[in-house]
Amino acid sequence: MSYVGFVGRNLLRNPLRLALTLLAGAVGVTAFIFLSTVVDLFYSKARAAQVDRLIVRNKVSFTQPLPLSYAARIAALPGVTAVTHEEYFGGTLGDTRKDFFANFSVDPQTFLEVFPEFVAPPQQLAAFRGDPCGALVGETLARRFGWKPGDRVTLKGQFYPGDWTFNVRGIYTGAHPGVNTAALMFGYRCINESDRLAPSLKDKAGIYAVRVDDPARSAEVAAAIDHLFDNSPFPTKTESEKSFQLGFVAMTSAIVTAVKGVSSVVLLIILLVIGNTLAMGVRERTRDLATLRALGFRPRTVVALVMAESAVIGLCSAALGVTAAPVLVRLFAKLIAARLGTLPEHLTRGHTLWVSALAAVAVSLLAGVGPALRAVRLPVAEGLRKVA
Amino acid sequence: MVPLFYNARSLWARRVSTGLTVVGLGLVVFVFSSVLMLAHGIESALASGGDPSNVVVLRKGATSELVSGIEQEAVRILSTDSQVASGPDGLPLVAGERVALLTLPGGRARSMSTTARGISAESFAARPEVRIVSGRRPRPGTNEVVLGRSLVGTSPEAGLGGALTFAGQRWPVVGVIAARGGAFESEVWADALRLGAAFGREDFSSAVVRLRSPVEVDAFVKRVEANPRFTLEARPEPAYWADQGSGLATFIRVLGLFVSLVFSVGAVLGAMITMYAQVATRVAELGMLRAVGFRRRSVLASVVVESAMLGAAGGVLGALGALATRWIHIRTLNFQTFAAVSFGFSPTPAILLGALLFGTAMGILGGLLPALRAARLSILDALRA
Repeated sequence: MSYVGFVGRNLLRNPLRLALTLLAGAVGVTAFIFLSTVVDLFYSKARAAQVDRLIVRNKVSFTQPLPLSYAARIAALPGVTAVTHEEYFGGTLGDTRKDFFANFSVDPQTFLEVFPEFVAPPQQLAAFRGDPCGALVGETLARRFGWKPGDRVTLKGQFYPGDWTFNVRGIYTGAHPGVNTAALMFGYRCINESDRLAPSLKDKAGIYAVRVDDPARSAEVAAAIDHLFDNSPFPTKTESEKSFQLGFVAMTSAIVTAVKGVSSVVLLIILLVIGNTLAMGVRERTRDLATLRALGFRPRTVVALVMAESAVIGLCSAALGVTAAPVLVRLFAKLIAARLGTLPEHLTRGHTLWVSALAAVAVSLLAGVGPALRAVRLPVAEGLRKVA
Repeated sequence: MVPLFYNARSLWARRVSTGLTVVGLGLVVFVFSSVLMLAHGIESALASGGDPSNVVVLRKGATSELVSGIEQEAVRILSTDSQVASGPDGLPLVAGERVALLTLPGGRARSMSTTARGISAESFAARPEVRIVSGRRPRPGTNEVVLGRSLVGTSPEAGLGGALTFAGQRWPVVGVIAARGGAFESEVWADALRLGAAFGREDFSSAVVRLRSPVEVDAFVKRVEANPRFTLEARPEPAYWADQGSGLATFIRVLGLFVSLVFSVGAVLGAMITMYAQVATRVAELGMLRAVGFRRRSVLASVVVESAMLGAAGGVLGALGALATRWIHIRTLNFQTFAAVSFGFSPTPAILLGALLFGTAMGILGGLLPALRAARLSILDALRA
């Protein structure tokens, strides 16, 4: 009998136990992928950040506004190729936050120059630019509420009191999977030029996004921007888009750390279940293994046989888990959409699946070490005598 | 019934396998209970920031103080209501407050977004739960600030005698406040006028109104909403704060329970593997039990009980582990308010009991099928094995 056949026979010695172990392993892999996806979600904006983009915010806090007049002054700096501004609007569909999704007021003329990853048909973009109250809606969000171009959407303002109605002019998709397609953007003039707006809120921008010609010089440009407004009533803080986004991740780091911690617990549980199964198997087969050694098989061959078993268990669990996890993650995203906002499509990254599968195999190999050593440590004579 | 010590001893006889299973079950229970403790911690941290006699008045439709705005005139009108309590100086306890977010340098080079509250003369009197633990109150009309207790030490300057720098000005810290673990402990309190000037804000964000008694709250809320002179809405202070944390608490609870659920499937399978093995290796023993007169259902119960013991042990282990997290303190961003909240794991008897039951339930579930197999064995086959 070949080694492969031998390992296969050993595994199938107790099919029920094998099935249970594989299932438990798969459940663990699924949970691990799920948690990694949650962590990914926190980092998704930082990952989608472009190296040639800077974010300018008010030095006091990102919720304090900046004057709209800064745009022209920033644009005039050397090294700056495009400037746009956006402001978090935070409007809700109903009276509560139940139907929460992200919405921003942007400058339609310059927005896509700085954020080219938001893609929409040219005629829709033209319509968006032409309508002061036009809105651009991400495809995920549009699907959730069944919106199409021409529809009207009314949001209740939070920072801006009252109801604001926007016309959906276009549906955008992302140029790559990292783009958030669950947001709504509308022209800032719709609000800024409204006579309902309090004078203190007029001509304000939340943040500026700046595109530079040479990423290597971005630190220099950032310093130049901050220097420009150093002595104004609204000093700025400019940083790369990545470090701006990582700042948010850092503020929620306690949660990210907790999720990562739980992920390690998952691996530990897989380790325990698989280790336990293998240990049982080896204990029951002490006599068989001793016989092998008595026949002249080297200890390392015996170890390799046990390790091969654990590798097979790990691989099968990983395969099952990798198949099941994306389905589960999508189900979860649907469940929480109403409460915590729409999540982008393609949540689970290929990278995450690979890492999880490798982790599962590594953990099951680790689980095999103890039983394998146990199998060869016992003197052959004693092993043969043993009745398990 | 098969005596319990038989099960206890057979578990002990297979210490390694039993131990691994108990640790696996324990880890699941640990995650389950610490998640519930965390969600409860957030809720109690925010919910305790409110007095049942107090009402928070915001602009209609505003979900938090940060996005709300009310005029000074409205604050004056509110203070003429007959049910408003009076302070020691005889003035009505209505405090207009201004709220802004600042970014304070945090520990380990991390910056944290923190709520700055511009307070009026009546703010302290309207909130008896807020007390000065060291130093003194800020003098009106100065840049002096008091810090919430959980902010102390987050940066070298964040402490009594230090001075914060924001909005281009220096703000000396003259005191530290505590508020029974509530949200105010994560805030910076400064004079409303000075803060308003620094942030270019003329209106108040909100008004806190203290009523003569908690029973007046509902009627007052209705009067505010019916008053045609302004478009404001009032909410009981505890309800307001509980709502501010609901998103974060829900996030943690949903995520945690979902994971625990997935986990528990794995752990039940683990327990099942162990119990099947137990039954398989004890076939002769179980046959003997039947032969000496124990009934099938006794054997079934015996195996289930053994598995339940396994689960209960995991439950105890997990609950103890979760209790150990009491000393961990967490500071994170509340997505809903963009301000930091500080909270801990707060255990309740219900959560601990739930953890034990959860562990035991997993054990019983895992033991059920193996127990059926054990009970179905025929005496003859079992004894021959």
